Amino acid sequence: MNAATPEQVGELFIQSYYLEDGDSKIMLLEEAVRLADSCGNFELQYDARNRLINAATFGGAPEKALVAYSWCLAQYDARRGAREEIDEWRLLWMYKWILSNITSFPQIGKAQIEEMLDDMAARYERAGFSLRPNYMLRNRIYKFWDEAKAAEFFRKAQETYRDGASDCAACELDDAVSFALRQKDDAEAARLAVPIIEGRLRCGSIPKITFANLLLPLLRLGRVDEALSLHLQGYRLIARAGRGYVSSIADHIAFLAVTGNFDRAVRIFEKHLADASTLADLASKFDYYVAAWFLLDELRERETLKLRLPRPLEIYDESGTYPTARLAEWFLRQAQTLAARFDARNESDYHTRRIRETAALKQLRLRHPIRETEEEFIAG
Amino acid sequence: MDYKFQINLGGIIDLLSNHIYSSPQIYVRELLQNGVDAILARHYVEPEHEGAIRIRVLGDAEGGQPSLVFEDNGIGLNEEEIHQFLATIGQTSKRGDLAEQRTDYIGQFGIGLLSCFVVSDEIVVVTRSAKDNAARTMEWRGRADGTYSTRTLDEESEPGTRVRLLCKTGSEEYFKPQAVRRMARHYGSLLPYPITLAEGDGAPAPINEELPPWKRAFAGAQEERAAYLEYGRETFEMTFFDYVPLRSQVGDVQGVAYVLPFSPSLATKRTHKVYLKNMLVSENAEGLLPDWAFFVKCVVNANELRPTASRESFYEDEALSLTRAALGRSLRAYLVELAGEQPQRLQKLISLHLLSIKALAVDDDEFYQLFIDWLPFETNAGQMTLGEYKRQHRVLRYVPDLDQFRQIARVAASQSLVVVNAGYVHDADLLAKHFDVFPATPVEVVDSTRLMHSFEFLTLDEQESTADFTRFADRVLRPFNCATEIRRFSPRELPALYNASSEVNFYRSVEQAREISDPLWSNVLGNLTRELPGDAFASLCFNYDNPLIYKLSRMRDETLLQLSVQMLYVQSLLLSHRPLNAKEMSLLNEGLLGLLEWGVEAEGGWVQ
Repeated sequence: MNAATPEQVGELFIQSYYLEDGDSKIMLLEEAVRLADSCGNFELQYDARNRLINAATFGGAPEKALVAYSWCLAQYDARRGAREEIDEWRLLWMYKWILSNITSFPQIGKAQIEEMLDDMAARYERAGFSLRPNYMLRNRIYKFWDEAKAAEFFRKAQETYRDGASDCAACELDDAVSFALRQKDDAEAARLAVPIIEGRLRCGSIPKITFANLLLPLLRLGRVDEALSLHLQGYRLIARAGRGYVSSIADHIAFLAVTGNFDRAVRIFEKHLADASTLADLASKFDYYVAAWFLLDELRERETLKLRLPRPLEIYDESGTYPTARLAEWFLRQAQTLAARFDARNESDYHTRRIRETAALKQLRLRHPIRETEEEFIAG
Repeated sequence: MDYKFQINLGGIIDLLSNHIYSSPQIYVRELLQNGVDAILARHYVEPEHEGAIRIRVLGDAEGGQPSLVFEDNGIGLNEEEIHQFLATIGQTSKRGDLAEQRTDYIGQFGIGLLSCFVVSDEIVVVTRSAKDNAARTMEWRGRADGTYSTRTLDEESEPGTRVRLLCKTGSEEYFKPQAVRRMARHYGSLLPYPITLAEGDGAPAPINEELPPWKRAFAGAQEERAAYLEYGRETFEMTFFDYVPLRSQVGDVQGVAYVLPFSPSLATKRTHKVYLKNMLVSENAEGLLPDWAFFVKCVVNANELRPTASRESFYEDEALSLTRAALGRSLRAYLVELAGEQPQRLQKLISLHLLSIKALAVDDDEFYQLFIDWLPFETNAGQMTLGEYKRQHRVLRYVPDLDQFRQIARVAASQSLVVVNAGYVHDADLLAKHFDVFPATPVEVVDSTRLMHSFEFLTLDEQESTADFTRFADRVLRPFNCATEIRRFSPRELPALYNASSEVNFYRSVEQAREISDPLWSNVLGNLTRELPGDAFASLCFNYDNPLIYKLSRMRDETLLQLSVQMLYVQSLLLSHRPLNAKEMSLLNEGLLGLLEWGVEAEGGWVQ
């Protein structure tokens, strides 16, 4: 029996450090967790999971982050009084990541989510941190089942002081942009987003998310050129991020379908489908399938489509030729099934409404081709 | 009644020096920029005019402090323009109407001369406009306290502008002739007008007489190569692996990309030295090359791209995206040419920059076709290029997952099955793509379940004789969500193979966390896995060819059999580096003790 050594774990840390967020990085760090466990060194076990939580959160595997995080939290609780090897601030900071994604799993109940929000708030209070990020999370989470309550917490967050455990200025501004969009105030959202658009405020996730969120609002405002520029800039930022930004990629696909850039839309749809279809984060999968349906439905006039779909997909066909209408319906059915699960959990019609709202984009239909060559697409 | 803000120039200068300008030496860039723009402006009225910039460093002439004279023979300023350009802060378009018509001026931000206050308390400008023969020579004297004066001079001077800076206490460093020469070279080495530097009354020495390699003509390929590499050494203090001349019509870009002599990290942004209209604007510009091109470092001059205010990247517009595509094509063409003409060099380059090349191949079918056979992959028979693999094996077999590869490698090898490890970045994508590009080669994804299917079944008699054993083993391992099977496979020394899908691995990690979590988290985790598909069962495949298993399958002592099955299970977990959960850990402890006890008793040496 050859036990793993701390050096092997360290070697995996180094390898993963040089990788961008994504499957490979997650795989290496899962291996690091296993090896650290088998050499039984607590510091390494904890460190490996911290790294895994980070990579999984930003690499599109929030379920893995959740599992690793619950281990860390339990270790922290078990070591009260002797926890100098655990960085409390960091642990509590990551709690935000876990809750940011918790609604993506319809199998996790509403009451459980509420309990987790309370648990996080209690831990922040004990540690002396402001509840501002907790309120902001409630705003983001409650929107699925109670918009009035969500709005109330958005305001409450604004009135609560910032401290070292609060989100960065870019993320908070992005929250405000999303809030304005929920109030159907496209113009206000676009106005608020100026510092992000101009590159004055940015972080790991911003402007990637913001740019995707603003595409359709800018079209609705008639600011087509700006929308186009945000698409070109924004897609480039996430084209290689794979699973991490599936939901934002869905926004880009819908945008391209609305503006009549079907070739580009189909290419992007094909490219990310394998990632999107295997996500455990069902909320992002839902977003992607809704956008896919919208795109394919816009292409109905062509009887069939020649596509490279991933083999494990239920509807995969060896011939590579797919009847457009059937394919569109398949994605719609999948999206509807997911929507039903989310709506049942949320006791609301949020997700079903999202499908209807996407259907309504047909009225926005514009024809605004992007000039591009094959090489340019390659150039990213 | 409207009022105007009172501006405290001292405060603004402080802001500028501490925030906007990354370093005081920027003043040299701003002076060069003003000089070049003035010469350009004169060209529009006098196309034959030959522009020049002269810099003179004077020692401790006035009050012991050094000073610097910066002179151009450009368009000059008349009195009205002096007030407009030298004394207005934040004016963004220079030289009024002309600037609107022409786009080739470098200066854009209207804060040029202000930057001189960072190193000097007083700026004296002597200037005479070339637009009007009767124009008088004017003097402008600006002070850091925000006041300025002008007067008309009697002297007859040539048209142009002379700026004189008196060194501020503490800025002596920036007035040393060596430093001025270095700064002028740094920013101005590509400028198209001769720049000279003189010390005191000394003779002027050229600063930028040498053209960059892409502007020179060479007698032969060898000379060209030497010149390019030497330029790279001078610019980046690095001896590069190779160089690739770059050119793009869009953006009017010219320059050179140097291939790094080491493998760069994927996570760091590659930055480049970028000149805009021949003036250095950034030493760490981003976004100029496609993302996959992180194996080169460039020097380029762009005449028609728009820098952002920070000047560290360009506006993401159509021109930039077309430029990026054109530069990407240059690099791609270089790689293709290398493959055709210098395969050995290509191999060296691949070994240094594998990730870049793989990233490009993932996205580009044609490139894939040309390069895939050159690329090395890890297999259970050592590293080999895909071309070598395909020459030896008809079917391309790969394992898309690092963990599974480790499980499979040993078994596969003993069955003379060579499989590619596609668990590293890009590899799975590249191999999945193989069938689309080369449909003639069969491709097979190998996982441990599939591998197990290929194991040899037992004969009917053998099956009957082992039926009790497998039923028993199944019962023993059911609490661990593990099913058992018995087959023949090599290597014989391996008694059992543990096989777990990624779902099982995930399930195990959840169970492990649940063991120590409080009720809230434990329930959340329970819900998370509630819907896992049925194949969340792992399997343990016993090897009938292994002597131990053969013996166990015929053993009747249930206590011993149970201990043995449990120990085989735990051992196969440990062999694949899987951490044991609490239940398995107690299995290990009790099992070891049990076996010891049994062994001791069997010896009959237990003496009361």
